[in-house]
Amino acid sequence: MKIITVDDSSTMRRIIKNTLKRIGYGDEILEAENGKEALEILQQNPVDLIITDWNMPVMDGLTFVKKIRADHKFDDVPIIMVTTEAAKEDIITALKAGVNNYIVKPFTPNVLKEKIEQVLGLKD
Amino acid sequence: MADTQSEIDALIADFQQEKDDSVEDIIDEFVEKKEEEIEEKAMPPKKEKTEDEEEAEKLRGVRLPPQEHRVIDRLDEINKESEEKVNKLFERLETISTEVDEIENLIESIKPYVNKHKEFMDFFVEHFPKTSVKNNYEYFKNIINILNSIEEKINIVRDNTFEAMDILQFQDITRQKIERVIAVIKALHDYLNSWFASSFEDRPRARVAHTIVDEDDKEKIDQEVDEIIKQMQRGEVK
Repeated sequence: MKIITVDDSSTMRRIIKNTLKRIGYGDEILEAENGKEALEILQQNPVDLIITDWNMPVMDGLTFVKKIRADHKFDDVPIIMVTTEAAKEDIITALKAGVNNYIVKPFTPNVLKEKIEQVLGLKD
Repeated sequence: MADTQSEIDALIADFQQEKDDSVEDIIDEFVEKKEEEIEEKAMPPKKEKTEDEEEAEKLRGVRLPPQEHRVIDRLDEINKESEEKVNKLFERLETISTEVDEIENLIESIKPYVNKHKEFMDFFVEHFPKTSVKNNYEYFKNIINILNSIEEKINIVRDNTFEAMDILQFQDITRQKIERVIAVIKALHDYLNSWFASSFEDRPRARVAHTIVDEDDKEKIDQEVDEIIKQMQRGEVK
């Protein structure tokens, strides 16, 4: 399974990458620092799952999700947003933009595993 | 002849006078040079202008604060340094995790031989209970217990290493808290600059986090997120 993790924090990208390996999704993990870089990578490397932060410079996660959903090539790729934003209106905004699931930082490996299984249809 | 002599005398007198004048000039020149040298020595050496001084000159004497007092730059540096250190720490934890896996693999690799040997000894002790092998058998069982204990310890080290890795998420959360402070300072800066119609070159920054969850509320928030997602899926949220 090919996954891209999009976060401006190199520490967070590392943590997500490591966690994915621990929970059995570490086959191929791509990394991007922001939405713009992720879009460029995705043009060459289609993925099975996108894990993105919200607050990033250059192109934030919400704009990135909207652009992904507007492109028919990627409109069915599951997206999980992992962010510090915990306000109800922010969660709704992200879901309306096309995010399939939402995780508030800091997260545990179990939560990430559960959410991945949900968006991949492996769990209710 | 007399005329010639008087002319000669006059010439000598002139020459004498010229000689005196030139000696005086030489002395004056020497004194002046020495005075300049003394003055130069007494003066501090001329310094190259720093960037700050050049900028201050451009600002007609208004001095900007030194580099180390420029708050946003300092905060950015702190963020960068802490990210670098946390990444190094993460690398170490990954190394520990890999080494622990190696130890576990080594134990796993000797286990079949140990088990085979135990089967053999079980058979031997059962059929020849009075032989001295029985003592060795006890030692051997002890080795098996120690191996099992090592495996338990490996699991404890691994769990703790993973937990430490998860805790390192604090760096990103702290960084975003600092970004909030930067946003306030920047807003203040922009407000003041708007009064003077000046402009400010800036690098692109991330949007500032609106909410950063307190760890004590995390479980409750996770439940709320799940509930909102379910409501959205049921079409209850417009």
